[in-house]
Amino acid sequence: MSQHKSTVQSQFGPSADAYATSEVHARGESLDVLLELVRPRPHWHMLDVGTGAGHTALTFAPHVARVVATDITPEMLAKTAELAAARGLVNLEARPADAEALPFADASFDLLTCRLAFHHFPNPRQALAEFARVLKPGGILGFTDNITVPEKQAAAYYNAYEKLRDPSHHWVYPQPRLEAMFQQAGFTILATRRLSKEFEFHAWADRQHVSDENKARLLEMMRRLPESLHPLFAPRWAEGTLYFSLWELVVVCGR
Amino acid sequence: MAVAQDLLEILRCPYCVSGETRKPGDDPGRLELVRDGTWLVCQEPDCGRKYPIKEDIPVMLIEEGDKWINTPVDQLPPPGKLVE
Repeated sequence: MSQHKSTVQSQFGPSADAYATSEVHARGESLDVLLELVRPRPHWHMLDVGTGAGHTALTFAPHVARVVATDITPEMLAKTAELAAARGLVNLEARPADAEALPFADASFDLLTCRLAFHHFPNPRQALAEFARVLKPGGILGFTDNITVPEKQAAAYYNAYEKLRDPSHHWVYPQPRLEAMFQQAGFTILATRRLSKEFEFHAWADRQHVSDENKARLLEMMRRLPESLHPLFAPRWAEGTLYFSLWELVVVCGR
Repeated sequence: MAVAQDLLEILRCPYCVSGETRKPGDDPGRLELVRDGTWLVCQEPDCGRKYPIKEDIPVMLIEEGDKWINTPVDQLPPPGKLVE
């Protein structure tokens, strides 16, 4: 396994409970928007890649025939299976798999979802090639991930900020770059929607067990923010803490 | 309980079905269930990867399959638990 993938496992194994209860991951607006734009059908077979604690798989399961939820971190899958059992969902199976080498035959699924996971993948083009491979012709890709601004230096600053909080963060792209990657992988973009979500700094940092030293660095980075990142982060100091926003893009593609 | 049959039907060896290591043919990386349904063995000649089914969950990661390339099927151990 690549060094990066084992970093993902060691970062998320101990955080499984925090992600199971995270407001943003469980109740995020992007989950509702994804469901609304994808419009799942009852006969569909679905694959959820990088399922984490399984929020997307759990939300879609009542609307489709079957869901296979995959993640590279076994502890996260145990959490997904636990939540599925608690909700009486018998059509959801949680399985370990690598997004860049999916263990499925070609054209196996009607719908593939990947929510807030793409920025962890060390070889995102290979992941997209795999998404296209395992989807049936005419299948749907329902995708969300954070995005950054197109300016190169600002994008690098943005990624340094996220990586300092979470070493398993690989890269977040600007919207035009992401859209080009989808098209190069053979997808047709059917719908996009950009959302902004606000975080309280300490809750955001504590979910990844950030040290006090790195918290101080992150706060300093926010004070010295490049001008072009102000519309994205929209930082505001209030009630003795920092609030900032991140952009999340929802993309629905046809294969 | 065993692995659901329809899921078994779509499972393939990730090494032989994906990317640059994909084997020729329309449907490479087919698997065979062995050892009383506790292991999956890739059927491609020259692969030899074997994937354990732990607590009814097939562990279909290439590095897991790599570990057992040189282990003959009759010497595969009980698969163990998913999270040790």
